[in-house]
Amino acid sequence: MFAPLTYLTGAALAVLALLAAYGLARGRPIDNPMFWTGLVAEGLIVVQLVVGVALSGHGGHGMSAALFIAYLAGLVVALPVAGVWAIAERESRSSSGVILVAALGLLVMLVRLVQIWNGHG
Amino acid sequence: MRVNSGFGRILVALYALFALAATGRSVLQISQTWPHPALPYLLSALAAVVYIVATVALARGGDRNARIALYTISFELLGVIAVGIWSYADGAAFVAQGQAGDTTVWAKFGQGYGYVPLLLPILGLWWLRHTRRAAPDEVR
Repeated sequence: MFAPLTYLTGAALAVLALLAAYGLARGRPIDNPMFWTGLVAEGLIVVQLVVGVALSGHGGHGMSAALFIAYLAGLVVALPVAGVWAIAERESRSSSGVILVAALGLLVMLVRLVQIWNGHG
Repeated sequence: MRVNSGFGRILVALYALFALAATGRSVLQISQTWPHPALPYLLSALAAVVYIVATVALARGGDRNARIALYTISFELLGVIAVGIWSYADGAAFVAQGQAGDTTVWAKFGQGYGYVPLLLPILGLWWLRHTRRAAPDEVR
């Protein structure tokens, strides 16, 4: 995996999680900073998918390429679903809650992705 | 308070996440070892079905769905505890293909997922109880 890209993706997701946690605590739904941070994170994840598929033959010893690509595909899907849901739910704080669940879930999946890349599937 | 509003929404998101994770995991595990999938892989599939049914029931809300959610989430709690104990008692059955450690979602009480699989049904049951108690005017 391309390490700088992975760190950037992780950072964007961490910022998104913080914004969402703040929104949830203040009882506020998704706002512009959350939306744009989510968009940046999703963009980075899409780049991650392309780079990941291109490099999938060069992982650590014993890496499962199928599992790696399945995780990448799952990563790409999560934020758009959460985003549509959060926007539909604009009238309550659970809008931010859904984004928080997605961002934390994606962070865990990103860590798992690195483990899979290193062959510790 | 309705089952599918407020905190219920966040619960649905959590269940959806685990439905996705367990489904993906079991499809990969079973398809890669077909036609002889190991026992833990079948347990992954069972977990996936339970998470999907619970997600749908919690999201739809209403009396009937709350009851379906109650059954599936109770089963989920029993499953996590049973598979958790089983995976410690008979560790050999849960190590497949020379891999070490957890090979199904509920092994070791969901250790591989930060014990969230153990916490999730407890949260779910609490929420179902909470929403039922908050509606005392309903005749049962």
